[in-house]
Amino acid sequence: MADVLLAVEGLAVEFTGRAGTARVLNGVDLTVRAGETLGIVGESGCGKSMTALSILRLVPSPPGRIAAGRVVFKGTDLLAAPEDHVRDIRGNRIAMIFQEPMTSLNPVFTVGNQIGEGLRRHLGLSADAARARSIDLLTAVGIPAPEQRIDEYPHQLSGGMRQRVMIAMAIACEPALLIADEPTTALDVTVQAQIFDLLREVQARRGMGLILITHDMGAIAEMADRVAVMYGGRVVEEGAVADVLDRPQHPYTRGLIACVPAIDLTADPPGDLLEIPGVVPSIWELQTGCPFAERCAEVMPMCRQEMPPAYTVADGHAVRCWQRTGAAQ
Amino acid sequence: MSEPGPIVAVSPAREALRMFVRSPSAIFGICLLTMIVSIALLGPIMFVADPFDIAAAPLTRPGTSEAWLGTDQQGRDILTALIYGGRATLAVGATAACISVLIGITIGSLAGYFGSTIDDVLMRIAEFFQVLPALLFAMVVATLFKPTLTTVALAIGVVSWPSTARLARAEFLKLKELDYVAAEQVIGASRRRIIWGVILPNALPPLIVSATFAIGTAILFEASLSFLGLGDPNRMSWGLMIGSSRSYMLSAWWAVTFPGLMIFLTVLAVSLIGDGLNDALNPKLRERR
Repeated sequence: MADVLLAVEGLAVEFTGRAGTARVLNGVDLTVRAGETLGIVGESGCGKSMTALSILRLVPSPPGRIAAGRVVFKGTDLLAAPEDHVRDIRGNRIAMIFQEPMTSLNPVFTVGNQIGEGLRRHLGLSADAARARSIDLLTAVGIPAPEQRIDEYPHQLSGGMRQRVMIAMAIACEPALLIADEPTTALDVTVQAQIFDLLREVQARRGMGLILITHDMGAIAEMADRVAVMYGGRVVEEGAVADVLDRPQHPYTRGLIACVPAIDLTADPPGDLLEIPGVVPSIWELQTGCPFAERCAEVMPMCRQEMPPAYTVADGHAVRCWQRTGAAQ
Repeated sequence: MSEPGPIVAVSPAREALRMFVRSPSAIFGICLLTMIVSIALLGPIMFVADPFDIAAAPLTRPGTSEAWLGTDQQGRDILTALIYGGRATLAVGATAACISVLIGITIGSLAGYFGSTIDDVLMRIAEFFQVLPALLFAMVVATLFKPTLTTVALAIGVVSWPSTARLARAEFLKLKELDYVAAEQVIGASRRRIIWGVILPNALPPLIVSATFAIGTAILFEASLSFLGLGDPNRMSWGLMIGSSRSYMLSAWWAVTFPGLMIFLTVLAVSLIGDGLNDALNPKLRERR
């Protein structure tokens, strides 16, 4: 088994507002190995993006605060490291791609300028060398005529092109870990497939660890080796993709899988779209017990009293649900 | 994906320049200001004289051969004074505007970027300067220190920065939330680089416009101070000319009208340029044309 690249242990993040203090993340544990893709899946507001920001120590503070936990990257706890050290790691060893390619590039600088910045900062390249490298990177991410594109401004590129530029920026310094926060949500389906191919190719070539944050079970099935299902600031189920998708243990995971619309033209009348009733609980609501209890079809009295512990179903497949723990006892 | 062809990269700055030169009033403003500035800069070199020298009889009417634009009550030539006075007025105006914009951008940027306590403290300071009657404060500063061009420029700059600061703060509040700022953090940029290298260039368009208008305001301010006798008495300026001839306003119209006209034209030129820049830099206004 490859080395553990990143280990998140017991991560808790709190936000303080007028209504009090809310726990956005509540003891998140994750591991990513070199060359592996970890998918993080869940609805909006489950803490996926907050987990990503915490790994880079970019939780907006105030009002946010990392309350507990460790983020161990290659043996160093990033949450305890000095700011300079973390800054050297950002963009250099750990890079991130955002959801919105339309707004993630600075409109007043050329593409080349922005790709080159990380190269100059972290690798100390000269302007000419950075430019040459940037052209190589644009070629690598499949942008035609890179010698011309490099002098263009973001508004002259399409959404797919911009996301490619973002990926070029992210992989510029050959990071060991890439965090992609819903990298294809804002793109067309066809472009989405291209971006996934590109990410896979880059990952295979450089042996990068990849954290793919998404709400799309299809993307998880296609891209990830392992998956962590998040709900209410907790990882409720984690395991190899094949295990989790074939034998989902948590009712929430099963709900998410059932919600993926199937293309079935033979069904008559067409099958109803499924949904999980209810909404993600607001972070300001005080929680005792399982955060999913309110929406769960299999809820038991116990669920509202105490958060279930992690229960290992099979090797590397763990779930936090009283239904499973209870069945075992 | 579009055809790879000879694509000309259009920078936002170049696009704005293209819009700017299309506006007739902006071009008129540029021409007018260029004329005034070249007279002020080159005039004293080509036309050596002392503006405080007596050239002809006091209150000579304009149109005579020894004083084309007439003389004031002390017999000083109005034309010479206009040419020499432009330097002081423009220098004070430009310096004061620079001081005001520099203070304003620095304080506004820091307040907008950091928010919370820093924002509160800096904005209360800005409000303190805003509620202060600006002219009165500048008068106090100019009287406390020796009234030289530098102190006058400082006095004007120090009272007029809060509006620029508020504008810069508003831009920073808006821009700091954008994804490309987060993207910059993610590639390991320092705070200093994010404030000055990432957000500020995006905040510049409205600040450039406000800086242009600040020059006009500063020129008027300088004229007011000189008119009240608080300018540098040893340097001829348009404000000083109006101020020293104000009791003869009815009997010798030319002694106050010509410097007044120069101030008016200068401020007009600067305002037209500011308007042109505003149209060119503000994409919402740009669509109207």
